Amino acid sequence: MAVTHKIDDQLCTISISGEMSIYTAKLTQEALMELLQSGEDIHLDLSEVNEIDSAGIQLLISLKKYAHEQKIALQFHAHSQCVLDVIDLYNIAAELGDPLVLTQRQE
Amino acid sequence: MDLNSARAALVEEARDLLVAMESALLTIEGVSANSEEIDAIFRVAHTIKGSAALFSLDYIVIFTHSMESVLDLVRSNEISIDGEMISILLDCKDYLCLLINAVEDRTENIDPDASNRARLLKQLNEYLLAPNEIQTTMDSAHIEKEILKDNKDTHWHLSLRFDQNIFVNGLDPFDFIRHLKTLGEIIYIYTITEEVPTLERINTDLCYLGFEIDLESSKDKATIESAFDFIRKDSTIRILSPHAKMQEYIDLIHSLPEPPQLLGEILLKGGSITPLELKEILHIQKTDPNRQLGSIFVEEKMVAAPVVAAALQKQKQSEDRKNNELKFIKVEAGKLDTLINMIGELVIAGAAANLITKTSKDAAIGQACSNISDLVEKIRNSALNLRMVQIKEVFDRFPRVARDAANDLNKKINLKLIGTETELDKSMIEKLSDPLMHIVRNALDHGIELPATRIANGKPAQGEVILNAFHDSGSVVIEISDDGAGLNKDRIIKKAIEKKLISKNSVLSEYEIYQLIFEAGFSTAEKVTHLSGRGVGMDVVKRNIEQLRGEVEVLSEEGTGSIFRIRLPLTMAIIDGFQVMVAGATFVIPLDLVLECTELTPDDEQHNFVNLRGKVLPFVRLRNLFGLPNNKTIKENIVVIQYGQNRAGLVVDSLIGEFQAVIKPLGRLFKELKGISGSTILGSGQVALILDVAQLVQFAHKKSNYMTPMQSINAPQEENKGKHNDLV
Repeated sequence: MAVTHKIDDQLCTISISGEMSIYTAKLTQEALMELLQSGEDIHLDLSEVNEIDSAGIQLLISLKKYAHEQKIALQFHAHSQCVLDVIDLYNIAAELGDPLVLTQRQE
Repeated sequence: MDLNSARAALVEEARDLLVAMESALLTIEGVSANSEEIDAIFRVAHTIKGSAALFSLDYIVIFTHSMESVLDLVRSNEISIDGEMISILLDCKDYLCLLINAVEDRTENIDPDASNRARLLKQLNEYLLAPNEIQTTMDSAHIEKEILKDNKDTHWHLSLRFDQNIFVNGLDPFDFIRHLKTLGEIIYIYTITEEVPTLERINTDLCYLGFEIDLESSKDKATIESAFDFIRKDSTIRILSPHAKMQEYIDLIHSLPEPPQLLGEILLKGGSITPLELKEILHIQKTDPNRQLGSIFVEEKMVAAPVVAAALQKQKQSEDRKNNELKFIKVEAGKLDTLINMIGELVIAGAAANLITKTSKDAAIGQACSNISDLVEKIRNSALNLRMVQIKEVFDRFPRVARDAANDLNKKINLKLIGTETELDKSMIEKLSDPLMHIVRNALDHGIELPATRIANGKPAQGEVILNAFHDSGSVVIEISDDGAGLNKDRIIKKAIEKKLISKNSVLSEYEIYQLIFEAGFSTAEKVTHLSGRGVGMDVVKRNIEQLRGEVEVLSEEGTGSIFRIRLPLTMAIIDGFQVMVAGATFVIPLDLVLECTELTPDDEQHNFVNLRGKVLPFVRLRNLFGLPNNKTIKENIVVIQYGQNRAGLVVDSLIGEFQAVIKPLGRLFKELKGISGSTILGSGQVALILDVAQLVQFAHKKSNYMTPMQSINAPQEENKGKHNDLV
């Protein structure tokens, strides 16, 4: 798991790569909390996430809630296939409210 | 829990379940399949499988799994249960009994009957394959799916609230939802995220997610539930059956038969909830006793409100009877025996105290002592009642015996059980089982004729065997009657002469002829079957029953049937006795068998019988019988005793009165002693002998018969022993 970010014209783009699971959730939470203090609009790039479990998805929901509460503009972008699968399985696309690229579900 | 005691519990539970299964199967066979019985059988297989899995008893798990699968098809009406399947399931039950025995003997890794197992599994699998074949003939999977969708019965609603620690335990809700997909089609899923805290507060180790899922599945509730077996303990899993069926559940609850049941059990039988859910609910109720069972069900969303309302109504109806519901505690038999021994000692000690009180002049002590005596008597009665068991325990195994025998012998037999609630000492129940089995098998095998013969003789094709138990003046009577061929007197006599049991020209009463069948080595069966007829049996029966201080007699009429009557004393430990004196020695007669006492007039002394209000009463002089010294000066009394239908008098010197006698068995040395059945200790410390009323009555009658040889030889044979003695 790695959390990287770059700030460009009031927009902070954060990339999470690797695994988002129960094992990395704590570290991810800490890293994100730090980055969210900047107060800028945030794009979260999920394209490099190659494994996600319920703890990971729960963390994303939690992140959304926090952003909503703190009035931070936060969008998830470029969901990787495994993230899409879980969002699809849990039927939480509407809940997260991000633009998604619809893909053929892989059975 | 200690593993060994857990195993013992498993064995015991499985045995109880198997007995229940057998009776459910026989009920189905007798009447028709109703869902309650089928559910009961299914639960037996399911529960045994579950318990066996805990101990990795693979032999049992695999076998019960096949049974469960077949029964599941029956439950979902895909196949119907018929006579053949009942036979197979009964055989399965027998085989499971063997497996359970093996568990008890710790030989569970050895198949007790491999060939039987293979046969049964093959037969079970044939049922499993059948519906699949039908499905494949439906060439389009699409049609099948449409049917599933139209059928509202397949629509399940699941509410999942996982234990917060599920992640830490290495599990993921994903896995469960994916598993559900293998059971059916998830048509809607709603993920509950309300509980998820915001990022700064979230504990990433905990799971906050919940799910509401609509599932299309043709599986039953238990199967769906089993998907959550691993996490059931701490998570809240609710599986709601299709709403369309609600009215059916309500109807079912209303249509259930009367017996008082807990709401939970009603719902259980209605299929709305499963046993596991009920357990959980009962746990909630225990920790929060103020909550009504019904409200827990609704709040926890396990059943819909109308179902609970119907069940509550039903529960109210049977509330009064519910209060009478029997509650049981399992107690080690040894503890009970100790208690009864102690009470025996207490009775003796009490008698000693009474004796001393009588000599003392203090009225207060007398009062106190008599209070204590009263209490001792009550304690004695309740203690003895503890050992009493309903004869149902023995009777209940006979429906199966009758069924198997009827099948084996191609006979039609209806077995009736009457008075199953009659109570008997536990130790007797155990010893009674074998003799009863012998007699019943005899009735089934030799008594009841083949249907063709019966019709030819103008009887209904179906024979009837009745087991009847009832209490009768201090004893328990068990009658085994059949409407079969009856005993053939000529054949019995011929056989007895052949076996040199009687001489060729001996003249016997009907009673004596029938008693011949209890002689050792006697068998009239022309054909030896595996049920009976090996010539060992009736003599063993008689011996077993005599060991219980009981007696057995036969009444029979050729062509219309026979009755075997077993008469047993009610208890073997403590009795109410009646004390009498003969030549300074004390004897005790069981009080239940004493009818009245009267004076012996000098006129009667010459005979062996007296005229008691116009009826002849034979009597025995205990003085002569036991060779006690003569003492002509005092007046003698007669105690009238009755055993079965026969009365006799006992001539004694004086009557003392009632007395609680703790029966102490006589030693082996006195085993052959006639007329005495045991001994007891009096308050004074003296030993008194308890008279064997059955033998004395018999003796008195024999003696009087001998004295009046002109009677009864030509008397009508139908007269039983009791009647013709009254004619003497």
